[in-house]
Amino acid sequence: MRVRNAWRKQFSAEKPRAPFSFHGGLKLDTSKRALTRFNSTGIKELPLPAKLVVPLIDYHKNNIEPLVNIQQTVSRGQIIAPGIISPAYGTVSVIEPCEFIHPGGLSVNSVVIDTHANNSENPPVSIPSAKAAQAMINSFAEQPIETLEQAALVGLGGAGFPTLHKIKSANNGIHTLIINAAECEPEIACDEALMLAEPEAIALGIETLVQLTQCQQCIIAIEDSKPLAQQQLSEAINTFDVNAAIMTIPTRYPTGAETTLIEVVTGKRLAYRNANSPTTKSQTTPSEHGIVCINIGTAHALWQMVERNQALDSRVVSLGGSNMRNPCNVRVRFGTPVNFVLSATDNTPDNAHTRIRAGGPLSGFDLHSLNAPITANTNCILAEAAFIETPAQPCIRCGQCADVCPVKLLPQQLHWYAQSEDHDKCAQLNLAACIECGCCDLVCPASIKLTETFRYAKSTARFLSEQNQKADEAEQRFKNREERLKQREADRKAAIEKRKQAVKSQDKKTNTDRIKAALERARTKQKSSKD
Amino acid sequence: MLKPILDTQAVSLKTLNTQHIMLWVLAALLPGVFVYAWFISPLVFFNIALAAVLAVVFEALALYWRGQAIHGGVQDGSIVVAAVLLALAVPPLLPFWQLAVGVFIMVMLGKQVYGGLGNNPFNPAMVGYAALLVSFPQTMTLWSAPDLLNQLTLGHLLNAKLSLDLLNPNLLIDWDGITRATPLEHLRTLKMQGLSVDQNLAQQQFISSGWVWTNLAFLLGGLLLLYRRIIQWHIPASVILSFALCSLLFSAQNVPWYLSVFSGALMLGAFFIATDPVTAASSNRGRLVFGAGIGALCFIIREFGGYPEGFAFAVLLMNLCVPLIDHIDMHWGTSA
Ligand code: SF4
Ligand code: SF4
Repeated sequence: MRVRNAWRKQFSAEKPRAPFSFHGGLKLDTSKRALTRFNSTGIKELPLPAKLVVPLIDYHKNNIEPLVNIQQTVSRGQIIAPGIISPAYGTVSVIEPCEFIHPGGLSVNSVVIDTHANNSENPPVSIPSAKAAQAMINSFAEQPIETLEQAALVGLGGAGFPTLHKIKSANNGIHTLIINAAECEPEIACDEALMLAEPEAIALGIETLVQLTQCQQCIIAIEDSKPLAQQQLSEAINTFDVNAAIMTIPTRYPTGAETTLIEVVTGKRLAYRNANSPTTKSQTTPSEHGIVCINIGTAHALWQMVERNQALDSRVVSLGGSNMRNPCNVRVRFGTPVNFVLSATDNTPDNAHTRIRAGGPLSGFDLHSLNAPITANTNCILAEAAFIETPAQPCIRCGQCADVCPVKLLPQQLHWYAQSEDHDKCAQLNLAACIECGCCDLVCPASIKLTETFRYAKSTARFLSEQNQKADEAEQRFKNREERLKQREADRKAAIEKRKQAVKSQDKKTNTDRIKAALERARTKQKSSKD
Repeated sequence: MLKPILDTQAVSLKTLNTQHIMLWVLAALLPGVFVYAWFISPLVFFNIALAAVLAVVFEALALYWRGQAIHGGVQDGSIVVAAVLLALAVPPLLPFWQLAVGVFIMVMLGKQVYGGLGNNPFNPAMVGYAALLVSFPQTMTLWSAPDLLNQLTLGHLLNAKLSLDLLNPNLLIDWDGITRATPLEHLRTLKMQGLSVDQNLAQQQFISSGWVWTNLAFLLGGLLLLYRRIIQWHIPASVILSFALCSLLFSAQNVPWYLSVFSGALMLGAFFIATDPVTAASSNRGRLVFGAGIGALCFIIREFGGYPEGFAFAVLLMNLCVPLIDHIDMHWGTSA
């Protein structure tokens, strides 16, 4: 046991502080989530499809090279590309571009695995006694943190940032570990379902995280709209004596977003630099403040790693939306195509007008193809009715968008400058801090598509800054070369000069020597002649 | 099939669109309109109807000339609101053609020349009002005395309204008999003659004139808008406070500040005119400055200026300052 445990006991006994509030936000209707919750019988385990598609991209959407060949047999959990594991036992049939979950319906090089029939079932996680669990966690935490690499842990909240990077980037140590049990959007219920179904595994996963990160405090943030889940989790936490405190936070969109959650839990307003938009220099990341946010789904996956050395290869997906016939929560192996998920749950859309979306109503997007595979980022699949477009009207400058913006931006002004492509002004107005939550769109009486403009402007700004950076680098390289050439030239000249000097001085020296010698000789001659 | 980026439709959130907002504003104006009609002149209904119809026609014409979609532009209802505000601001007896001129200027010079809704720097209704006040100073200050109004039939009055020249002697209306200056004007005249005003008399006159009641009714409507969160408190509060403070501190007239706040068009202006989001400052901090400026200017014009009611000019002057206010505000915001 660690030394700090006594101190920690004290911490967990302490009553959790009241949450802070944040600017703006919206109270959204969560009744649809209740529907997903009560219709479901826990979390359904989806059967393994005959074919799994694993896209070869990393968090930054860069292509990565596979480490396996066609016809190679892969085992479950085997690393098939840096940071990517095979979700099942099978044979690689092809490696080719396949559609993946992307707003533009792009394709990316993917490993297609034909799964073998004798794949082991996914047994439910076993829960040891409190003592045995502690021992397991301790021995796991003893290992170097790099062993986590095998677990292929990534955030299951929707962004999919590699967890190990998150932990390691806090190089000044982790002060506060925040466990995010707040659902991002009203339709998403996968975290809640997981808390209701396997609270013990989550609690043990959290304890492992606390031990791994050596954090000073760990706070589990749950919205007040999930009293049952909170109760389950708090019981599990008591049973296993987990050193974490539960904080009930108000249900107000977007509490689940990292920036706002940190503000609610710690009161710190980080002008947060999204990893996607490194344009504004003054902003900081949470880990620079010693804060790390981890989704409860990730905590659950970590316990699977501790308990049976199983990497993260499946996740809970919420199936919802107004046109979903059987809304439920299912555990889906990564790489399972969306249409398989829908057909296995008897949710195949029955008319052409149904739109299938991946991700929530605000953060997600409509899918171009149902062949796209589920990945760690897919927290929900929605089936919605056809969209009726409301044409945008002129802005009446009502200021409602600024009133609801959780990061205190001026969306109306930003929109003005973003449309006229004035990137400097946008940067001044801190466009990079926009978390793309969509609150401004929801309240805008003129139905202006603000968030869409911001997404576009952000990606353009990113592109431009990359270009600038490249240009700067090239310029620097050119300058360096010039410098080097000049230096070389100067050196050469200096060397010549030196040699000349040397010759000259030698000449001088020899001359004076000769004179001296001559004089000497003359003197001796004189002397001898005198004698 | 349409692929929306944000599925705002799936998130059931009852938000108002521009049209709803305008309908709410019209609804909130109703109590004030009725009290006005009762105490001051029922002719206001005629004016409102005329102004609204003309405004829609002119707006449609302007949109047609500009090659814009007529339906979408007129539909939002903002021009109807502006027309109603203009009709409420002018004297009820204003000849119809002068009102028509005012509406035309409001639509064309107040709004459409700048590119329609959202782009106009000045409050359109106040542009129309100011133009009328400058062009027709005589009729624009001709207010009928409420108690004498009953002696004339409505038909008689309408007849007068429809005539081209209100002051035409052929109309056989004894204007001196039936019109009387508004309390504000009355006070002004007295002050100019160097007469002191008896406080009690002034109070009585204020209350009996019906303006206090009208203002209270507009206040009620304004509170409704506040409650519905269609407007924010910043502008009305700062207008009223700064006006009250100025009259408390500097007023030479013998009228207590709480009465002068309920006189003239102050409530209508504070809740309905100054709050026009298009022409107000954009941040809450800026709006406080904007409102305070209007209140103070309104007081200064009433007290020292050449016009008895200065709200229109106060609003227009502050509209002029909005870019400056916004700029300074944004600059502070980023450096802080
Ligand atoms: S909410 Fe819409 S109409 Fe209102 S200021 Fe913002 S962008 Fe303009
Ligand atoms: S999308 Fe961006 S600008 Fe709009 S409310 Fe959210 S954070 Fe603010």
